[in-house]
Amino acid sequence: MRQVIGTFKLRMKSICIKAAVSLGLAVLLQSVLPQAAAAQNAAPQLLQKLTGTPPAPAFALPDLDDAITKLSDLKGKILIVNFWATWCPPCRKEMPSMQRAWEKIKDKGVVLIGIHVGGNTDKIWDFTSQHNLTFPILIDKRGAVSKKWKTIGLPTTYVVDGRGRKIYRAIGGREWDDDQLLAQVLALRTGK
Amino acid sequence: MRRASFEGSKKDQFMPTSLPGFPLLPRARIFLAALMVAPTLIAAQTPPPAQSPARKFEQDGLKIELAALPPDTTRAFFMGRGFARKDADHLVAKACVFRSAIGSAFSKAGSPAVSIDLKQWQVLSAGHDKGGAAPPRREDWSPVWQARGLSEDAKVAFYWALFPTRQTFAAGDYNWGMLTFGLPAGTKFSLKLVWRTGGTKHETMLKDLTCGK
Repeated sequence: MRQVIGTFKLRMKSICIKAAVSLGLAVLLQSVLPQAAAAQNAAPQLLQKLTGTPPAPAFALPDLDDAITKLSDLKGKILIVNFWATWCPPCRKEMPSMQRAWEKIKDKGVVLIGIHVGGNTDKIWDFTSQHNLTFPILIDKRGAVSKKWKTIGLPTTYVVDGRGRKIYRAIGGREWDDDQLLAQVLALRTGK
Repeated sequence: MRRASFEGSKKDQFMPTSLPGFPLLPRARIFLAALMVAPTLIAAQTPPPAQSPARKFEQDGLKIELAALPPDTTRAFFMGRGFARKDADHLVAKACVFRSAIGSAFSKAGSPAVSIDLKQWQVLSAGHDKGGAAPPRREDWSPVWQARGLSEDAKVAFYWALFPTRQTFAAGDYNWGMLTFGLPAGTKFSLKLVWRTGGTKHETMLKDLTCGK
């Protein structure tokens, strides 16, 4: 009798454990699968090719240490120029992907620059240190350079070729470390 | 890492290697599996957060999301960007503010451009289809702040925080920004949206919008 009860208990225990594990796996899959599907269906990270390849307007802007960077200092380089602000949600969201992009491209003849619109340096410091941003951040205190570049909303990012021409534009956030997007940028190195 | 720590030889001395019915599933693994799924199970039991007040709309290439900001939020946002209290108070007294994200609903390169001009939009009293006025835009606020002697930093912050008056979106493009409506807190209203997709004019009415309070 004891043996029968013992076997029954073991069987019940086994069934309970199997059920718990199955339920756990089902819930886990339920939570993981939609994310996987969403990732698969993620929208492509598009860059808009600008008609007429307008020249990138000159600038001389300070960074957080008041050191001035001029556009002319960067002649011959491919540039990604991002206009942003700490208080702009999509700007904040895309910044980590910009840092990852910077890690991928910084040794490939491409310079990534963030131009902050507005001059609240404390908030910029907080944000850049919090996100470990290591690419150059310049400050457009009055927004004059942003307007000269025909930026009318944030974030807006331009890709400039080695001849100083605006080639691509992205209005709104992107995943900047996307390989296809970066391939378009790197292709400009050929000078075509 | 976890697996290694649970499968050390010392651990095995104190635990049977398997359970009846699970010859290949040691207790440690079951415990581990339970630990892994527990947060998911708990999350599945947790009620969803209160429904977001954001209003979403997508039609004929336009994608828009609007959410009313309570006056206190608007006041705090701008005071954090150089507004004096009296100027922030003036703003919330004169306008109800919505945060917005507006852009192209298209995600394929080469899709038609979508353009908006806020001057063509109309704010209407609830239940009315005509007789509205365009929402105040960046350009309308500039002389107000000039007259009130707002600091340059605050003026720059306000200008860039507001949604651009005119914008053209390619596929994948969108902007974020605030929209101001010249209405008192808590007012119900309708918003007539006008936009062009590939040159074709579209319009629709968003009804039952409510200013924050």
